[in-house]
Amino acid sequence: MKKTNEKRRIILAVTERSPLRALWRAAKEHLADPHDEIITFVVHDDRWRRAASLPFTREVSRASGRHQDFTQWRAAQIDDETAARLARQLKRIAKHAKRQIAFEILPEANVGDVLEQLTITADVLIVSSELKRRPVYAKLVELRCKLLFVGPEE
Amino acid sequence: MTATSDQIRALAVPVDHLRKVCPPLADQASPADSPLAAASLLSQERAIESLRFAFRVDRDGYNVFVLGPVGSHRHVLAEDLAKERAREKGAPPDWCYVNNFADPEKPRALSLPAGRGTGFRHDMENLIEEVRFAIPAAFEEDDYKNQLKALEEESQKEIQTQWQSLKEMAAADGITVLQTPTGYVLAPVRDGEVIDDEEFDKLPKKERKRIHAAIKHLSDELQQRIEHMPALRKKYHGRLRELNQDVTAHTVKALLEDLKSNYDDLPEVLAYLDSAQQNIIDNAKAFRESDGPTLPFLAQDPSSVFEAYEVNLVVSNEVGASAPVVYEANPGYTNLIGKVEHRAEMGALVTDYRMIRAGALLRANGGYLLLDAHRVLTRPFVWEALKQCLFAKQVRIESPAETLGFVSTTSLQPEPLPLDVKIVMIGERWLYYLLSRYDREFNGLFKIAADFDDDIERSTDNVHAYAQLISHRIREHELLPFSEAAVQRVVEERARHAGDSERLSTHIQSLDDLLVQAEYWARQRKAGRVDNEDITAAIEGSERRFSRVQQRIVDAIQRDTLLIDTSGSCVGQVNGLSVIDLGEYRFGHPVRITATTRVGTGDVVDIEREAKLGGAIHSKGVMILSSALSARYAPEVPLSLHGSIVFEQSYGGVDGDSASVAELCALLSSISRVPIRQSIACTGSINQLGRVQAVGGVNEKIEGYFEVCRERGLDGTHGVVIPRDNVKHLMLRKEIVEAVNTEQFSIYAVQYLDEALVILTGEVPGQRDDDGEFPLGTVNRKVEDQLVRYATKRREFAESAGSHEEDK
Repeated sequence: MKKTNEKRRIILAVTERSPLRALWRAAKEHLADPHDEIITFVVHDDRWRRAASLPFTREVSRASGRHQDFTQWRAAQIDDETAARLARQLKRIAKHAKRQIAFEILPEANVGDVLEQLTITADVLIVSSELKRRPVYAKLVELRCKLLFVGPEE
Repeated sequence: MTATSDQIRALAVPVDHLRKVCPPLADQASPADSPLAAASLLSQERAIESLRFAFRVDRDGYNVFVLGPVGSHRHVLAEDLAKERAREKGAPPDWCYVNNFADPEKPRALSLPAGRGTGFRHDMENLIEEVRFAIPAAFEEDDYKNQLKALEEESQKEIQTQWQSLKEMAAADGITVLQTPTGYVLAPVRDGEVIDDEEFDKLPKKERKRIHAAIKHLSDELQQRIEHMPALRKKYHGRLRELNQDVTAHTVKALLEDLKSNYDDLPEVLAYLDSAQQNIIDNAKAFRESDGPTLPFLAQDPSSVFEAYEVNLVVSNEVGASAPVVYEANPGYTNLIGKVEHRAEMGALVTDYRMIRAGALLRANGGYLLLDAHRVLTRPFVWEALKQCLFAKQVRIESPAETLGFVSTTSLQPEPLPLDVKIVMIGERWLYYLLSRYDREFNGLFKIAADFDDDIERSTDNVHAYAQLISHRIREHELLPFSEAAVQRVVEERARHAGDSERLSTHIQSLDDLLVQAEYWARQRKAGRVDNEDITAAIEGSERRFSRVQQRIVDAIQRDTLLIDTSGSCVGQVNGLSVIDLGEYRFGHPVRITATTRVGTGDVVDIEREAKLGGAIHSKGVMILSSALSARYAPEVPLSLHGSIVFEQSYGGVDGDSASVAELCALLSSISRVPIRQSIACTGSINQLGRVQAVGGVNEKIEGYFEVCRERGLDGTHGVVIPRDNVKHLMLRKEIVEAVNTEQFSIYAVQYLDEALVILTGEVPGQRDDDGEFPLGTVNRKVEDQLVRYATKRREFAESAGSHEEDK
């Protein structure tokens, strides 16, 4: 157990489909000191990489209906764009709340290991509930810190 | 043969003929009521009748040209008469320009009964103000929101149905539809997760082929549905637009119904309101967004949406008012025709129908427009534009460059307005005659000429009328009262201004000047009324201000720079009289005329003409006197004379024939060797029969010579010979009348050349006796004898020259 007078560390694990404001509200409930630390992890969605590994998958343009090969490069680009968008949104929310926030991007395959290390010193891990349906869920429930799932249904 | 004093005295003009004094006025004249009444008093009936006639004939071309000198109050009279008629005609309709929604570059013109234009403009302003708030409010209504929501849901549902069915088709084949930021990816799934290549390779070949085929089929289906999306969106937007238009139309119609009822009697206005209504409905979106922030730079100002419905009232008249009477003092093209103004916007000049401005023609439409002819003719393009408008009976507001086709950029082409105006062009006579002569269209457009007299007869009635006019002018200028003597003096001065003792000048401006200046002198001496002495002070003051040139000439004569003898006698030399006109001031002065003669071939040389300093009339005068000479003397022998005549020390042009008597006398003196008295100056023209004819400026000439003689000292020998026909013109200064009365100065009036010779030579010229001979010793005998001698000499010379040739 940590002493209550020490600064707290709260970890947010989000994906592109996470309800960010709901996650942030949950995090705020556990913040006591202005110096409490928030670390956000964006968990990459492996669907893009897997779909891109197939030689016949093609991306159909929403604007024109034209097809083009869906490649690993395109999958990585979507991941980067998603991460950047989430980062912008979270930073804007944090700035509004006058909080500092750290931001990391993790491939889904590494999420369990990294979180395991971090949660040794973390107080709360707040996770987007849609990760319950992902393989990483099995690892999350084994972590030693307090685990909160946040989503529309929570 | 010396002429007797009786013979000379018989030709002297009696003192009472030198200045016609104004008789006592019966009573203090009551002032005329108006300029028009004053003009009537001045016997300008002919001009007034012409103006009234022109104003009452409502036909094409019955415009009027008012002829008369500057300062004759032509403007005031023409304006008064125009207003008189305008009161009977009533106010013409108002005119306004409105937006042509179908073609904004061609604004439409609307006519409304007088006074209703302003109301229409206000009605449109109020309408737009109401629409501005009513339309956004209508779109805030729950009814609209519900309809909009239903439409959006229906549209959304249709789209969702499309996607849902596709997703279901895909799911049935084990395929998922992933949404990327820009499109869709179809991928196979197992247990809800997308499979990668390793898992895919582990699938049976048949399954892999099925997945391949399913993805291809679904991709094609997806493409088709995506391509169908714009149609769905278009359908949605179309229905949304219909909904918006229905809401707008409902709102606008309700607002316009009331407005339209005000204009039931004006179909054109109703048609415009219909088009405005449709345009508002078509632009409902702009009304809804009109309150948004103005975008910088190229963004259109939202308020401009409403400006398209403003009314540009270019001509406004009041209900029950008279027809307009407009005087345009500066009839430049734009002031007369109108203009389309521009404003600078982002470095470009832009305009619209609201910037159309009416000119004087439109302001006077339905009434009368007064213009100064010389201004119309000297402003570029104005005369042609005015004629074009009158011929076309419409005003097309465009720049001269557009009229001439020099502009290729797009600009407004306002609908021409019908023109029904009476033009009153005011100008001097020479302009009227010039236009009549050289502009073939002029007489067709200006069929009426109103000719103002420069002067009127000095009858008893007219003198009384003139006194009334003077009283009117005194009241008009709010001057001190004038004594009866002062009024009498003014009347006399008006005769002097007319240059005729039997007429009175109708030049109102100079009359006003005299009255105002006299009043100034009265106030200077702190008098309560203007008296005779103030009139004198005003006249002398005016002359003093203008007399620099005259004084320089008198000084030059006194110092013998200009050689003028005023005493003694001299052969072939006479004092003629000349007038210099400085515009506001005219004065006379003596000039020395000399003549020389010798044997010759019968020609008299006009040196002025030879030197190209003589005008045509002067040359004609010399030719006439030459002809008179040959007809009068020795008619049976060839005229064997060579004579020459010159204005000595004259370095400017000489014109007119008023010196021809003096020139002939100098010539006769030279031929006869009879000297001419230098104390006498002479003026008058002569015809071939020796009759002396009237000349102009006789008063100034006498006064000019008198001035020189007075400077040198009057001794009773000085005098002037004038034509008898000019006696009626005499209105000399009082000091000259006094000098004549005391026999210090004389004025002789002659009808024939012989009478002039009596005065100038002091000898009897002689009449032919029964044998046709002039008496011996007379001037005429001496002239004839000399001419016969010249002829003899010439014949002898010719004979000796002939025999000399034969000897050779």
